[in-house]
Order: sequence, then structure tokens, then C-alpha cells
Amino acid sequence: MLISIFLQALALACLSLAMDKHYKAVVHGALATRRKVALRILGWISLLLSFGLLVAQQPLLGIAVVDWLAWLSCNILLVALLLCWKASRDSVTH
Amino acid sequence: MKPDFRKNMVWLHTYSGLVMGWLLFTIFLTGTLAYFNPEITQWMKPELQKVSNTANMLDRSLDELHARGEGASGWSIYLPNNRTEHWYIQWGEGRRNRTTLSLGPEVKQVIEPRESAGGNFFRVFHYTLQLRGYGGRYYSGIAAMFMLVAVFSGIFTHRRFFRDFFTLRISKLQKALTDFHGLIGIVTMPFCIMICATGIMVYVIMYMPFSSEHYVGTERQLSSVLSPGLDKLTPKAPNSSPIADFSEVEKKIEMAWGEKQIRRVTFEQPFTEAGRIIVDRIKDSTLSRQSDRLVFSAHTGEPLKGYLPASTAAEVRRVFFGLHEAHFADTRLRWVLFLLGLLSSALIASGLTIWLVKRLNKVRKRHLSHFLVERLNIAVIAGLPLAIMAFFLSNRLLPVMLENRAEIEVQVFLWTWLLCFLHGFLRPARNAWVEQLWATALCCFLLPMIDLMQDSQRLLEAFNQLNLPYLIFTASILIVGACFMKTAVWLTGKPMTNKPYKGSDKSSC
Repeated sequence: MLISIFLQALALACLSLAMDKHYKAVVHGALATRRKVALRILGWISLLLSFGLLVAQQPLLGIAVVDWLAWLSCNILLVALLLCWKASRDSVTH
Repeated sequence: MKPDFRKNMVWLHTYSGLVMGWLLFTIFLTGTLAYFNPEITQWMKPELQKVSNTANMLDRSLDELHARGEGASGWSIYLPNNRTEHWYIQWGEGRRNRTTLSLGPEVKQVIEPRESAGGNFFRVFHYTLQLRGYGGRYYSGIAAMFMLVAVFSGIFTHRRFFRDFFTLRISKLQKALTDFHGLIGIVTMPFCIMICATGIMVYVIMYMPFSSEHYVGTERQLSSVLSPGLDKLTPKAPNSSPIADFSEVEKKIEMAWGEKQIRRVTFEQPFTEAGRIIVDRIKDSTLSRQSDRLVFSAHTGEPLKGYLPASTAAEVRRVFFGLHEAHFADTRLRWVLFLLGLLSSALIASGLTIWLVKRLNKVRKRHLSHFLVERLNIAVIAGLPLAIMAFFLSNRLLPVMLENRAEIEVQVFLWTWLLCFLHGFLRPARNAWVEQLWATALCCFLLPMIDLMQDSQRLLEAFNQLNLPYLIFTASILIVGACFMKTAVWLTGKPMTNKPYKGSDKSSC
């Protein structure tokens, strides 16, 4: 259960880093196309994997879907807050 | 002239949000609290003791019913489960005229919990708005419809949010608010659509009366055609007595469902030949609102023919209803849904604030509408939490034996809220914000202290018995208090201009 949620957060983090804007803010460098594709693939695969894990653990598919979507919302917010925090910390140090 | 689609959508988003925003905020916040309905009741009735580990609960309930409910036309037994420690029995005639008795862990022990509106107040308030019989449920249905409109038009209004996914800039207040609104909008979009659509489905028969008039006659008849009940029992003279030993029936139930799956046992006409027992399963393992049911004969304990399967339409509605109420959610998922509910409330609050901040930044002379929106924002966004805290405080401060105590608690809630409206309109905006936020924070800190002073044993016992609802409620109230205090301090520290600022409860951004 926890693994699945963590995997979902990780997936969203990868997907956010696959966007030029966020990559630049975190790594301070340009995002190469190959890395972008790699991050995207990794993100989507982990996202699917997290869903699969949750479905495997929960006997009722319906509840698993609700669960996964609810966590998806929270994890998007979490990733956004982390990026926001990182950006504000950088703007203080520079 | 070609109509500009996006412009129309922005207009629609702005004004559907504005017109219904305050009502929606109220519904969302109280509805979110209703996720913890039994847990809040548990806190509001501290007399309830831990009973869920008691042995032979069904037989003990049955003994009490035999002793007290002689000749009644209906008996019910409500068992405690992992969300509530309230174990009670009811007997009487019909649905209204019933006597309730709460049972305790010791043999023959009866508990008398204080009369309180409990967490159920939030559940009922969030769709009737305390206006049952005056169209309350229609207003909330209309509000839900407006929310759906606002969500869909919001997709076009904040169209950049796919390019700006995961983006939150906090350099300037208005930008931060808009980013926050857009981000929370997309984060809670599935939740909002689910909640509004399912909320409308709950009373769909009432909202569309023409279909029931067309097909069968009245709304009630349509429900019974869609989801057939059992055959009607005609009350006859008492000529038979209900079973005294439930263990045989219990064995059969455990065969079918497993252990600890019973939520409620209802006896219909227990003293007649045709009397029957209906057993409801707990709702942990189904999305539907209607859990499984078994039917037995009341005086032999033999299984009877159960319920006929409901029509697809009724089944769909039940699943929608179940999704709305989320009885299936375990504690973890329930907290996530609770958080999403709070975020949706913050979404509405930030939307209302953006409307005002954006306009006040532009205009030189204020219009009456600016004043109205500003004051209503204060009264609803800051006033409602204060009224809720007053409701909780009244639960502890009103004399325990007071008559109509539950009703007076609700009155306290409503009057406090009215005072918040008056206060918001009479004071300068900034002061009104800060004062109401401080008042809420103060109430949050006072509540556990008053509780402790009234009965210091309560907290100790809660620790000993690991009464989680009680402990977590107390801790959450303190955290909420700290958040309100932080927001109030932050607002006070803002440079003094004639423009009001509001951080929509989330002081982090």
C-alpha cells in the first residue's frame, strides 16, 4: 500500500521533471531530449505500476480506483509544493 | 459578431462561482466534516464507553428488548463497529415513536449519553441547510449544479494549467492566489466532479419529479418500484414471541459473511407469526450505499426469502450515493478524502478572494458590490469556522440535563454565525478578518482546556482505552487553532493598505 503511494509520488516527480520549466528550476541546466523522454517513460511506467500494485492489494476494483485517484490528487499537490519550496529556497540563496 | 467562447467561459466561471460561492463553501466545509460523522459524535458524547470488545452483544441486546420492548411493533439493535462505540437498541411503534437505550460493557449496564446533535448535524446541515421543508435540499442541489458549471468553465478559464502543471509561484499575493486556485482546482477536480454529481444523484428523484409523475405517480412509489422492498406485513394481534437466543442465527450469518460483519439487526412485527429479522451488513466492503442484507423468521430463526435485486437504475444510484458518503473508506482513505474536502473548500474560498482582490487592485472608487462581496467573504470564510467552534463549545458548556439540548446546540451555531455577519459588516474589513480568525483560534485552544477542566479523567481514560476518535479530535482541534492563529498573525503583519488580503486558510502559500 505504502509502496504504491510512494511510487505514485515518484512517478509524478519524474513527470514534473520532464517539463523544461521545472527541470530548470531544480537542476539549473537545460533538459536534453533523451533525458526528457527517459523521465517521461519512467514516470508513466511507475504510475501504471502504482495502480497495478494497489489493485492487486485491494479486493474490490472500485475502492482501489477511488483510493488511487484520491492519492493522485494529494501527490500532485505534494510535488507542486516541493517544487514551490525548492524555488523559494533558491531565490533566497541567490 | 462572433461570440468569443473563452470570454464567455471566463464570465460563466466568474459569476457562477461568485453567486453560489458562499453557499458552496458552507456546503463543502460542513460536508467535509460529515466524513467523520460517527467520530465527531463519539467526541460530543463523552459518556460513551468502549464497548466494541464486549462479548455476546446480540444476546444481551435481545435480553434487554425482551424485558423492555414487550408487544412493540419494531425492534432494532445497532452494534458498535470500528468507527463508533455507540451500541444501542430501539423499540416502539413505526419509525417515529421509538425509545432508544444505549448499552455499556458491563452486564445490565445502561449508558445515558448526553443529548447532542453530534456529527450528524454536519451531515444533515450540508444538504438541508437547516431548511428542510423550505426548499433546503433544492438549494444544495442547485449549488451542486453550479459547482459543476464552475469546474467545467474553470478548465477554460485557467487554460494554462496543463502547461503550468505543478506550478505555484508565491512572489506576489495575487499571483500566488491565482496559482493556488488553479493548482487546487486541478488537484481536486476529480473529487469535486464526483462529489457534485453524486450529490445531485442522491435526490435525483426529487429534483426531477416529472419522471415519477409520468411513470408511477409519486416520488415514493417510483423508489419502491425501482428498488423493491419485502412484502408488506400487516400488524396483527400478538400471537407469537420472537427468538430469545440469537446464536443460531448468528452462526448462519457468520457462515455467509464472516465474523464481525453485522451493523444492524431489525425485527419487524416480532410478536406476529409472519414477523421477520433483517440483518444489515457493515458497509466496509462495498461501494454501494446499500450493504448486503439477510432475512430470517423472527420466531424460528429460519432463513426467509431475501430482497429482490434492485433495478439497474437504483443500483447505479446506490453506488453514487455510496461514493458520496464513502462508508467504504478505511481510516487512511477517509483522511485523504477529508483533506480533499478541505482543499475544495479552500478552492472556493480562494476563488471568492481572487474576485475581490483583482477588482480592488484596479478600481479607484469602490462599488457597493465590492463592499458586499468583501463582507460576505468575511462572514462566510472566517465566520463559519467560528460558528462551528461555537457549536463544539456549546456541547461542553451547556448543562448536561438541559431540555432540547441538541436543538440549542444548533441554535448556538446559527446565532454565532449571524453575529459574525453583523460583526463583518460593522467593523473595518481587516479588523473583522483578524478578529474573527483570532476568535476561532481562541475557541480551538479553549475547547480542549475546558474539556480537561470539566473531567480530567476523560483524557486519561481515552489514553488508556486508546480511544482514537477522542484523541485525534482533540489533537486536530489544536492544529486547526494553530493554523488560524498563524493566518491571523500573518494578516496583521501585512502592510497596511486599503486593500484586504486573505490567505484562504492555507498559510503555507
